[in-house]
Amino acid sequence: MLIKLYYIIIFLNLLCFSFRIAGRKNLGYASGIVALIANGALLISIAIQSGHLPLFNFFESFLFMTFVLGLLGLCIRGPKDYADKIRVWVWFEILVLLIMTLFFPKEPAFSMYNYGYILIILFHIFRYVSLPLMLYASAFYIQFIIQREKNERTRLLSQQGRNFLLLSAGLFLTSEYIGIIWCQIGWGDFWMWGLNFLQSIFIVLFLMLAFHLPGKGKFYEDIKSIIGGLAGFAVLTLYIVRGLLG
Amino acid sequence: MSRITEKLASFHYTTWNLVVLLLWQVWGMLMAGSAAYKTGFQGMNNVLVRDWLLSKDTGFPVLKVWFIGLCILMILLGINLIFCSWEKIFRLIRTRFNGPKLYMLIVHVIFGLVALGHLGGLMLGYEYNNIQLSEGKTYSFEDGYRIEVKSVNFISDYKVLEKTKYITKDEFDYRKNSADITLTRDGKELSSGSVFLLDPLEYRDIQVTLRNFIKSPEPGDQQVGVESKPWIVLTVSRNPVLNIFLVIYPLMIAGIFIHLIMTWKKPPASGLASEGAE
Repeated sequence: MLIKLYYIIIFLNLLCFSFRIAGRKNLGYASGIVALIANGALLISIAIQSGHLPLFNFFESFLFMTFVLGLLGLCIRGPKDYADKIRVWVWFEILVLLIMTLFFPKEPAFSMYNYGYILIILFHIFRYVSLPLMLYASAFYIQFIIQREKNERTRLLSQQGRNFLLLSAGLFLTSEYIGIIWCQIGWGDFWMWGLNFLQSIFIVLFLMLAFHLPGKGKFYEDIKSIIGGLAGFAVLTLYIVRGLLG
Repeated sequence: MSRITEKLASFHYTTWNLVVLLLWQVWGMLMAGSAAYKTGFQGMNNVLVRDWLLSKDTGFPVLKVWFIGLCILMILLGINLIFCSWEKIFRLIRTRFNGPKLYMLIVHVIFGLVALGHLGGLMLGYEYNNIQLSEGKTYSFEDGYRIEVKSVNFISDYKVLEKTKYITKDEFDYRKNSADITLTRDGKELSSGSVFLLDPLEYRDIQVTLRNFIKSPEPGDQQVGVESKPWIVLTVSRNPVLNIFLVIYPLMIAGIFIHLIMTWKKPPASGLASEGAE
Protein backbone atom coordinates (compact mmCIF):
# COMPACT_ATOMS: atom_id res chain seq x y z
CA MET A 1 0.00 0.00 0.00
CA LEU A 2 2.80 2.42 0.96
CA ILE A 3 4.68 1.68 -2.22
CA LYS A 4 1.59 2.17 -4.39
CA LEU A 5 0.93 5.52 -2.77
CA TYR A 6 4.58 6.45 -3.24
CA TYR A 7 4.43 5.81 -7.00
CA ILE A 8 1.13 7.71 -7.18
CA ILE A 9 2.89 10.69 -5.59
CA ILE A 10 5.65 10.55 -8.20
CA PHE A 11 3.04 10.38 -10.97
CA LEU A 12 1.01 13.29 -9.56
CA ASN A 13 4.08 15.50 -9.18
CA LEU A 14 5.19 14.63 -12.70
CA LEU A 15 1.72 15.56 -13.89
CA CYS A 16 1.87 18.83 -11.97
CA PHE A 17 5.28 19.65 -13.45
CA SER A 18 4.02 18.88 -16.97
CA PHE A 19 0.96 21.13 -16.52
CA ARG A 20 3.20 23.89 -15.20
CA ILE A 21 5.52 23.58 -18.20
CA ALA A 22 2.51 23.63 -20.55
CA GLY A 23 1.19 26.77 -18.85
CA ARG A 24 -2.00 25.05 -17.61
CA LYS A 25 -2.11 26.89 -14.31
CA ASN A 26 -5.38 25.55 -12.89
CA LEU A 27 -4.59 21.93 -13.72
CA GLY A 28 -1.09 22.41 -12.33
CA TYR A 29 -2.50 23.87 -9.14
CA ALA A 30 -5.08 21.08 -8.76
CA SER A 31 -2.60 18.26 -9.37
CA GLY A 32 -0.16 19.97 -6.99
CA ILE A 33 -2.75 20.00 -4.22
CA VAL A 34 -3.66 16.34 -4.82
CA ALA A 35 0.05 15.41 -4.84
CA LEU A 36 0.56 17.26 -1.57
CA ILE A 37 -2.45 15.52 0.06
CA ALA A 38 -1.17 12.13 -1.13
CA ASN A 39 2.31 12.98 0.19
CA GLY A 40 0.83 13.94 3.56
CA ALA A 41 -1.22 10.72 3.62
CA LEU A 42 1.92 8.67 2.95
CA LEU A 43 3.80 10.40 5.76
CA ILE A 44 0.92 9.73 8.16
CA SER A 45 0.79 6.08 7.04
CA ILE A 46 4.52 5.69 7.66
CA ALA A 47 4.15 7.26 11.11
CA ILE A 48 1.29 4.90 12.03
CA GLN A 49 3.04 1.83 10.66
CA SER A 50 6.47 2.54 12.15
CA GLY A 51 5.48 4.26 15.39
CA HIS A 52 7.82 7.21 14.82
CA LEU A 53 7.71 10.46 12.88
CA PRO A 54 8.82 10.01 9.25
CA LEU A 55 12.21 11.72 9.54
CA PHE A 56 14.80 9.06 10.10
CA ASN A 57 15.96 7.34 6.93
CA PHE A 58 16.52 8.53 3.37
CA PHE A 59 13.04 7.49 2.17
CA GLU A 60 11.19 9.11 5.07
CA SER A 61 13.24 12.30 5.18
CA PHE A 62 13.07 12.91 1.44
CA LEU A 63 9.29 12.39 1.41
CA PHE A 64 9.04 14.81 4.31
CA MET A 65 11.11 17.33 2.35
CA THR A 66 9.01 16.94 -0.81
CA PHE A 67 5.96 17.63 1.35
CA VAL A 68 7.47 20.83 2.76
CA LEU A 69 8.67 21.95 -0.68
CA GLY A 70 5.23 21.23 -2.17
CA LEU A 71 3.63 23.28 0.57
CA LEU A 72 6.00 26.16 -0.13
CA GLY A 73 5.42 25.79 -3.87
CA LEU A 74 1.67 26.13 -3.46
CA CYS A 75 1.97 29.26 -1.34
CA ILE A 76 4.58 31.20 -3.33
CA ARG A 77 5.54 34.44 -1.67
CA GLY A 78 7.28 36.67 -4.16
CA PRO A 79 6.87 38.84 -7.23
CA LYS A 80 3.48 37.91 -8.72
CA ASP A 81 4.68 38.15 -12.33
CA TYR A 82 7.13 35.35 -11.70
CA ALA A 83 5.13 33.11 -9.33
CA ASP A 84 4.22 30.56 -12.01
CA LYS A 85 7.76 30.41 -13.36
CA ILE A 86 9.10 29.83 -9.87
CA ARG A 87 6.55 27.05 -9.33
CA VAL A 88 7.98 25.26 -12.40
CA TRP A 89 11.41 25.23 -10.70
CA VAL A 90 9.92 24.16 -7.38
CA TRP A 91 8.25 21.14 -9.02
CA PHE A 92 11.44 20.37 -10.89
CA GLU A 93 13.19 20.23 -7.50
CA ILE A 94 10.42 18.06 -6.03
CA LEU A 95 10.93 15.62 -8.91
CA VAL A 96 14.70 15.62 -8.28
CA LEU A 97 14.06 14.70 -4.63
CA LEU A 98 11.60 11.97 -5.60
CA ILE A 99 13.93 10.56 -8.27
CA MET A 100 16.66 10.28 -5.61
CA THR A 101 14.36 8.15 -3.44
CA LEU A 102 14.07 5.64 -6.29
CA PHE A 103 17.68 4.58 -5.62
CA PHE A 104 17.14 3.86 -1.92
CA PRO A 105 15.08 1.26 -0.02
CA LYS A 106 11.46 2.33 -0.05
CA GLU A 107 10.51 1.39 3.49
CA PRO A 108 10.14 3.10 6.88
CA ALA A 109 13.21 3.37 9.09
CA PHE A 110 13.83 0.78 11.78
CA SER A 111 12.17 2.27 14.86
CA MET A 112 15.00 2.86 17.31
CA TYR A 113 14.44 3.15 21.07
CA ASN A 114 15.29 6.87 21.18
CA TYR A 115 13.20 8.09 18.20
CA GLY A 116 10.62 9.53 20.58
CA TYR A 117 13.16 11.75 22.30
CA ILE A 118 12.13 15.37 21.76
CA LEU A 119 15.59 16.75 20.88
CA ILE A 120 16.13 14.06 18.26
CA ILE A 121 12.73 14.83 16.72
CA LEU A 122 13.30 18.60 16.72
CA PHE A 123 16.81 18.24 15.31
CA HIS A 124 15.46 16.30 12.33
CA ILE A 125 12.43 18.55 11.80
CA PHE A 126 14.52 21.74 11.65
CA ARG A 127 17.09 20.06 9.43
CA TYR A 128 14.53 18.74 6.98
CA VAL A 129 12.66 22.02 6.82
CA SER A 130 15.84 23.99 6.15
CA LEU A 131 16.82 22.02 3.01
CA PRO A 132 13.46 22.52 1.22
CA LEU A 133 13.79 26.22 2.06
CA MET A 134 17.26 26.29 0.48
CA LEU A 135 15.83 24.63 -2.62
CA TYR A 136 12.94 27.08 -2.57
CA ALA A 137 15.47 29.93 -2.48
CA SER A 138 17.26 28.26 -5.41
CA ALA A 139 14.04 28.49 -7.47
CA PHE A 140 14.09 32.30 -7.07
CA TYR A 141 17.79 32.50 -7.86
CA ILE A 142 17.45 30.30 -10.97
CA GLN A 143 14.61 32.46 -12.27
CA PHE A 144 16.70 35.57 -11.62
CA ILE A 145 19.70 34.14 -13.49
CA ILE A 146 17.69 33.26 -16.59
CA GLN A 147 15.95 36.67 -16.70
CA ARG A 148 17.67 38.73 -19.35
CA GLU A 149 16.57 42.00 -17.85
CA LYS A 150 18.13 43.07 -14.59
CA ASN A 151 15.98 45.78 -13.08
CA GLU A 152 14.30 46.56 -9.78
CA ARG A 153 11.46 44.10 -10.50
CA THR A 154 13.73 41.17 -11.31
CA ARG A 155 15.94 42.07 -8.36
CA LEU A 156 12.95 41.28 -6.14
CA LEU A 157 13.55 37.68 -7.20
CA SER A 158 17.09 37.72 -5.90
CA GLN A 159 15.93 39.50 -2.77
CA GLN A 160 13.38 36.75 -2.10
CA GLY A 161 16.04 34.13 -2.85
CA ARG A 162 18.28 35.78 -0.29
CA ASN A 163 15.42 35.99 2.24
CA PHE A 164 14.57 32.29 2.03
CA LEU A 165 18.23 31.30 2.03
CA LEU A 166 18.81 33.33 5.18
CA LEU A 167 15.67 31.82 6.74
CA SER A 168 16.93 28.33 5.91
CA ALA A 169 20.35 29.23 7.37
CA GLY A 170 18.65 30.29 10.63
CA LEU A 171 16.67 27.04 10.77
CA PHE A 172 19.75 24.98 9.93
CA LEU A 173 21.67 26.67 12.76
CA THR A 174 18.70 25.99 15.06
CA SER A 175 18.93 22.30 14.19
CA GLU A 176 22.68 22.49 14.85
CA TYR A 177 22.05 24.05 18.24
CA ILE A 178 19.55 21.33 19.16
CA GLY A 179 22.07 18.76 17.90
CA ILE A 180 24.74 20.32 20.13
CA ILE A 181 22.55 19.91 23.22
CA TRP A 182 21.61 16.35 22.19
CA CYS A 183 25.26 15.50 21.67
CA GLN A 184 26.32 17.09 24.97
CA ILE A 185 23.82 15.17 27.08
CA GLY A 186 24.17 11.96 25.10
CA TRP A 187 27.95 11.75 24.67
CA GLY A 188 29.34 14.27 27.16
CA ASP A 189 30.71 16.58 24.47
CA PHE A 190 28.92 18.90 22.06
CA TRP A 191 31.24 18.02 19.22
CA MET A 192 32.04 14.63 17.68
CA TRP A 193 34.61 14.52 14.90
CA GLY A 194 33.24 12.54 11.98
CA LEU A 195 31.55 12.79 8.62
CA ASN A 196 28.20 14.12 9.88
CA PHE A 197 29.72 16.96 11.86
CA LEU A 198 32.14 17.92 9.09
CA GLN A 199 29.24 18.01 6.65
CA SER A 200 27.45 20.40 8.97
CA ILE A 201 30.45 22.75 9.01
CA PHE A 202 30.61 22.52 5.23
CA ILE A 203 26.96 23.60 4.96
CA VAL A 204 27.47 26.52 7.36
CA LEU A 205 30.59 27.65 5.46
CA PHE A 206 28.80 27.38 2.12
CA LEU A 207 25.94 29.53 3.42
CA MET A 208 28.47 32.03 4.78
CA LEU A 209 30.09 32.17 1.34
CA ALA A 210 26.72 32.81 -0.31
CA PHE A 211 26.12 35.80 1.98
CA HIS A 212 29.59 37.33 1.78
CA LEU A 213 30.37 37.46 -1.93
CA PRO A 214 31.66 40.91 -2.89
CA GLY A 215 31.20 43.00 -6.03
CA LYS A 216 28.60 45.04 -7.88
CA GLY A 217 27.15 44.92 -11.38
CA LYS A 218 25.53 42.28 -13.55
CA PHE A 219 28.47 39.85 -13.57
CA TYR A 220 28.73 39.79 -9.78
CA GLU A 221 24.96 39.62 -9.40
CA ASP A 222 24.98 36.46 -11.52
CA ILE A 223 27.88 34.97 -9.55
CA LYS A 224 26.07 35.66 -6.28
CA SER A 225 22.84 34.13 -7.52
CA ILE A 226 24.67 31.07 -8.87
CA ILE A 227 26.32 30.45 -5.49
CA GLY A 228 23.06 31.18 -3.65
CA GLY A 229 21.15 28.92 -6.03
CA LEU A 230 23.72 26.14 -5.64
CA ALA A 231 23.42 26.08 -1.83
CA GLY A 232 20.36 23.85 -1.82
CA PHE A 233 21.82 21.47 -4.38
CA ALA A 234 25.17 21.30 -2.55
CA VAL A 235 23.38 20.34 0.67
CA LEU A 236 21.21 17.88 -1.23
CA THR A 237 24.36 16.23 -2.63
CA LEU A 238 25.79 15.91 0.88
CA TYR A 239 22.58 14.27 2.11
CA ILE A 240 22.67 11.82 -0.79
CA VAL A 241 26.32 10.98 -0.09
CA ARG A 242 25.47 10.42 3.56
CA GLY A 243 22.53 8.24 2.51
CA LEU A 244 24.79 6.18 0.27
CA LEU A 245 27.38 5.73 3.03
CA GLY A 246 24.60 4.57 5.36
CA MET B 1 42.91 53.22 6.76
CA SER B 2 46.06 51.59 5.49
CA ARG B 3 46.10 49.36 2.46
CA ILE B 4 46.84 46.28 4.56
CA THR B 5 44.00 46.80 7.01
CA GLU B 6 41.69 47.54 4.09
CA LYS B 7 42.60 44.18 2.58
CA LEU B 8 42.23 42.39 5.91
CA ALA B 9 38.74 43.85 6.27
CA SER B 10 37.64 43.16 2.70
CA PHE B 11 34.96 40.75 1.50
CA HIS B 12 37.45 39.46 -1.07
CA TYR B 13 39.56 38.20 1.83
CA THR B 14 36.42 36.65 3.41
CA THR B 15 35.44 34.97 0.15
CA TRP B 16 38.83 33.42 -0.55
CA ASN B 17 39.23 32.37 3.07
CA LEU B 18 35.84 30.64 2.92
CA VAL B 19 36.65 28.98 -0.40
CA VAL B 20 39.88 27.54 1.03
CA LEU B 21 38.00 26.49 4.19
CA LEU B 22 35.41 24.70 2.06
CA LEU B 23 38.12 22.83 0.16
CA TRP B 24 39.75 21.99 3.49
CA GLN B 25 36.42 20.60 4.69
CA VAL B 26 36.14 18.46 1.56
CA TRP B 27 39.53 16.98 2.41
CA GLY B 28 38.34 16.38 5.99
CA MET B 29 35.11 14.76 4.79
CA LEU B 30 37.02 12.46 2.44
CA MET B 31 39.19 11.34 5.36
CA ALA B 32 36.16 10.94 7.63
CA GLY B 33 34.44 8.79 5.00
CA SER B 34 37.49 6.57 4.54
CA ALA B 35 38.02 3.44 6.61
CA ALA B 36 41.74 4.27 6.94
CA TYR B 37 41.00 7.27 9.17
CA LYS B 38 38.15 5.78 11.20
CA THR B 39 40.41 5.03 14.17
CA GLY B 40 41.99 8.46 13.85
CA PHE B 41 38.65 10.26 14.19
CA GLN B 42 37.67 7.93 17.05
CA GLY B 43 40.90 8.96 18.76
CA MET B 44 39.93 12.62 18.37
CA ASN B 45 36.62 11.92 20.11
CA ASN B 46 38.03 9.82 22.95
CA VAL B 47 39.88 12.63 24.70
CA LEU B 48 39.97 16.40 24.64
CA VAL B 49 41.30 17.47 21.22
CA ARG B 50 44.14 19.37 22.92
CA ASP B 51 45.35 16.13 24.52
CA TRP B 52 44.91 14.21 21.26
CA LEU B 53 46.92 16.84 19.40
CA LEU B 54 49.78 16.96 21.89
CA SER B 55 50.05 13.22 22.47
CA LYS B 56 52.73 11.36 20.52
CA ASP B 57 50.89 8.05 20.84
CA THR B 58 47.72 9.01 18.97
CA GLY B 59 49.32 8.74 15.50
CA PHE B 60 47.58 9.94 12.33
CA PRO B 61 49.97 12.84 11.55
CA VAL B 62 48.01 13.73 8.38
CA LEU B 63 44.86 14.17 10.46
CA LYS B 64 46.78 16.42 12.84
CA VAL B 65 48.07 18.51 9.91
CA TRP B 66 44.50 18.80 8.66
CA PHE B 67 43.25 19.88 12.09
CA ILE B 68 46.03 22.47 12.55
CA GLY B 69 45.28 23.80 9.05
CA LEU B 70 41.60 24.09 9.97
CA CYS B 71 42.51 26.07 13.10
CA ILE B 72 44.82 28.39 11.10
CA LEU B 73 42.10 29.06 8.52
CA MET B 74 39.61 29.82 11.28
CA ILE B 75 42.09 32.19 12.92
CA LEU B 76 42.53 33.95 9.56
CA LEU B 77 38.74 34.24 9.30
CA GLY B 78 38.69 35.63 12.84
CA ILE B 79 41.24 38.31 11.85
CA ASN B 80 39.02 39.24 8.91
CA LEU B 81 36.01 39.37 11.23
CA ILE B 82 37.75 41.71 13.65
CA PHE B 83 38.96 44.10 10.94
CA CYS B 84 35.69 43.95 9.03
CA SER B 85 33.59 44.59 12.14
CA TRP B 86 35.78 47.44 13.25
CA GLU B 87 36.58 49.16 9.97
CA LYS B 88 33.32 48.74 8.10
CA ILE B 89 30.26 47.91 10.14
CA PHE B 90 31.20 49.85 13.26
CA ARG B 91 32.21 52.88 11.19
CA LEU B 92 28.94 52.75 9.25
CA ILE B 93 26.92 52.65 12.43
CA ARG B 94 28.75 55.69 13.76
CA THR B 95 28.13 57.67 10.61
CA ARG B 96 24.74 56.31 9.50
CA PHE B 97 23.20 54.34 12.35
CA ASN B 98 20.38 51.98 11.49
CA GLY B 99 18.82 48.83 12.94
CA PRO B 100 19.78 46.18 10.35
CA LYS B 101 23.43 47.25 10.41
CA LEU B 102 23.49 47.12 14.20
CA TYR B 103 22.06 43.59 14.09
CA MET B 104 24.62 42.60 11.47
CA LEU B 105 27.36 43.82 13.80
CA ILE B 106 25.85 41.93 16.74
CA VAL B 107 25.48 38.72 14.71
CA HIS B 108 29.09 38.95 13.52
CA VAL B 109 30.46 39.63 16.99
CA ILE B 110 28.43 36.76 18.44
CA PHE B 111 29.60 34.49 15.62
CA GLY B 112 33.16 35.29 16.68
CA LEU B 113 32.28 34.39 20.28
CA VAL B 114 30.61 31.14 19.15
CA ALA B 115 33.77 30.21 17.23
CA LEU B 116 35.83 30.99 20.33
CA GLY B 117 33.42 28.87 22.40
CA HIS B 118 33.96 26.01 19.95
CA LEU B 119 37.72 26.38 20.27
CA GLY B 120 37.38 26.55 24.06
CA GLY B 121 35.40 23.30 24.01
CA LEU B 122 38.24 21.63 22.12
CA MET B 123 41.07 23.00 24.23
CA LEU B 124 39.85 23.65 27.79
CA GLY B 125 38.85 21.29 30.59
CA TYR B 126 39.10 17.54 30.15
CA GLU B 127 37.32 14.51 28.75
CA TYR B 128 37.63 10.82 29.64
CA ASN B 129 35.73 8.34 27.54
CA ASN B 130 34.90 4.66 27.63
CA ILE B 131 35.06 4.30 31.42
CA GLN B 132 33.68 0.81 32.02
CA LEU B 133 32.43 0.22 35.56
CA SER B 134 30.34 -2.32 37.41
CA GLU B 135 28.36 -1.93 40.62
CA GLY B 136 30.62 -0.87 43.50
CA LYS B 137 33.54 0.12 41.26
CA THR B 138 35.15 3.56 41.29
CA TYR B 139 36.99 5.76 38.85
CA SER B 140 39.34 8.55 39.91
CA PHE B 141 40.26 11.49 37.74
CA GLU B 142 41.72 14.99 37.94
CA ASP B 143 41.97 17.09 41.11
CA GLY B 144 40.97 14.30 43.50
CA TYR B 145 37.54 13.68 41.96
CA ARG B 146 36.10 10.18 42.04
CA ILE B 147 32.97 8.47 40.75
CA GLU B 148 31.47 5.49 42.49
CA VAL B 149 28.78 3.32 40.96
CA LYS B 150 26.34 2.56 43.78
CA SER B 151 23.99 0.43 41.71
CA VAL B 152 23.12 -0.48 38.15
CA ASN B 153 19.37 -0.56 37.67
CA PHE B 154 18.92 -2.50 34.45
CA ILE B 155 15.34 -3.71 34.06
CA SER B 156 15.31 -4.68 30.38
CA ASP B 157 16.01 -8.17 29.09
CA TYR B 158 19.76 -8.85 29.26
CA LYS B 159 19.62 -10.22 25.72
CA VAL B 160 19.50 -6.65 24.43
CA LEU B 161 23.10 -6.25 25.60
CA GLU B 162 24.18 -8.59 22.80
CA LYS B 163 22.98 -6.07 20.24
CA THR B 164 25.06 -3.12 19.13
CA LYS B 165 22.40 -1.45 16.99
CA TYR B 166 18.80 -1.77 15.85
CA ILE B 167 17.39 -1.73 19.37
CA THR B 168 13.69 -0.96 19.62
CA LYS B 169 11.87 0.86 22.41
CA ASP B 170 10.12 -2.42 23.27
CA GLU B 171 13.51 -4.01 23.91
CA PHE B 172 15.04 -1.09 25.77
CA ASP B 173 13.44 1.85 27.56
CA TYR B 174 16.09 4.53 27.99
CA ARG B 175 13.98 6.31 30.63
CA LYS B 176 13.82 3.31 32.97
CA ASN B 177 17.32 1.81 32.87
CA SER B 178 19.76 3.76 34.99
CA ALA B 179 22.72 3.72 37.34
CA ASP B 180 23.08 5.41 40.71
CA ILE B 181 26.41 7.16 41.06
CA THR B 182 28.18 9.38 43.52
CA LEU B 183 30.72 12.06 42.76
CA THR B 184 33.25 12.77 45.51
CA ARG B 185 36.33 14.93 45.88
CA ASP B 186 39.02 13.94 48.36
CA GLY B 187 36.50 11.63 50.02
CA LYS B 188 33.82 14.30 50.41
CA GLU B 189 30.53 13.68 48.60
CA LEU B 190 29.67 16.45 46.15
CA SER B 191 26.74 15.05 44.25
CA SER B 192 24.84 11.83 43.77
CA GLY B 193 21.93 10.65 41.71
CA SER B 194 20.71 8.47 38.89
CA VAL B 195 22.14 8.73 35.43
CA PHE B 196 20.15 7.61 32.41
CA LEU B 197 20.99 7.58 28.73
CA LEU B 198 20.46 11.18 27.57
CA ASP B 199 20.20 12.35 31.18
CA PRO B 200 23.63 12.91 32.75
CA LEU B 201 24.70 13.92 36.24
CA GLU B 202 26.03 17.47 36.45
CA TYR B 203 28.07 19.09 39.16
CA ARG B 204 29.12 22.65 38.32
CA ASP B 205 30.93 22.28 34.98
CA ILE B 206 31.66 18.56 35.42
CA GLN B 207 29.35 16.19 33.59
CA VAL B 208 29.10 12.42 34.08
CA THR B 209 27.35 10.91 31.08
CA LEU B 210 25.97 7.41 30.83
CA ARG B 211 26.87 6.27 27.33
CA ASN B 212 25.86 2.63 27.35
CA PHE B 213 25.13 -0.60 29.20
CA ILE B 214 27.36 -3.53 28.36
CA LYS B 215 27.82 -7.16 29.31
CA SER B 216 30.49 -7.74 31.91
CA PRO B 217 33.88 -7.70 30.14
CA GLU B 218 35.51 -9.78 32.88
CA PRO B 219 35.95 -13.44 31.85
CA GLY B 220 35.09 -14.70 35.36
CA ASP B 221 31.58 -13.30 35.06
CA GLN B 222 30.72 -15.29 31.94
CA GLN B 223 29.57 -18.45 33.73
CA VAL B 224 27.06 -20.75 32.05
CA GLY B 225 23.52 -20.12 33.21
CA VAL B 226 24.50 -17.13 35.33
CA GLU B 227 23.73 -13.65 34.12
CA SER B 228 25.92 -11.12 35.88
CA LYS B 229 24.68 -7.56 36.20
CA PRO B 230 25.47 -5.30 33.27
CA TRP B 231 28.30 -2.80 33.45
CA ILE B 232 27.97 0.80 32.47
CA VAL B 233 30.08 2.92 30.14
CA LEU B 234 30.64 6.50 31.27
CA THR B 235 32.15 9.68 29.95
CA VAL B 236 33.47 12.28 32.35
CA SER B 237 33.90 15.72 30.86
CA ARG B 238 34.47 19.25 31.96
CA ASN B 239 34.00 22.19 29.63
CA PRO B 240 34.36 25.51 31.47
CA VAL B 241 32.91 27.53 28.57
CA LEU B 242 29.93 25.26 27.84
CA ASN B 243 27.26 27.36 29.57
CA ILE B 244 28.44 30.59 27.93
CA PHE B 245 28.53 28.82 24.57
CA LEU B 246 24.99 27.49 25.04
CA VAL B 247 23.73 31.00 25.80
CA ILE B 248 25.46 32.90 22.97
CA TYR B 249 24.65 30.38 20.23
CA PRO B 250 20.86 31.01 20.29
CA LEU B 251 21.57 34.74 20.52
CA MET B 252 23.39 34.46 17.19
CA ILE B 253 20.41 32.63 15.67
CA ALA B 254 18.00 35.21 17.09
CA GLY B 255 20.16 37.99 15.63
CA ILE B 256 19.94 36.37 12.18
CA PHE B 257 16.16 36.11 12.39
CA ILE B 258 15.78 39.71 13.59
CA HIS B 259 18.05 40.94 10.80
CA LEU B 260 16.01 38.90 8.31
CA ILE B 261 12.73 40.40 9.52
CA MET B 262 14.18 43.92 9.32
CA THR B 263 15.48 43.46 5.78
CA TRP B 264 12.77 41.19 4.32
CA LYS B 265 11.14 43.86 2.18
CA LYS B 266 14.14 46.07 1.57
CA PRO B 267 15.72 45.24 -1.78
CA PRO B 268 19.50 45.20 -1.85
CA ALA B 269 21.20 48.35 -3.11
CA SER B 270 23.09 46.17 -5.56
CA GLY B 271 23.58 42.49 -6.03
CA LEU B 272 21.93 39.69 -4.14
CA ALA B 273 23.49 39.44 -0.77
CA SER B 274 23.12 42.89 0.67
CA GLU B 275 25.43 41.74 3.45
CA GLY B 276 28.17 41.23 0.91
CA ALA B 277 27.80 44.42 -1.11
CA GLU B 278 30.82 46.57 -0.72
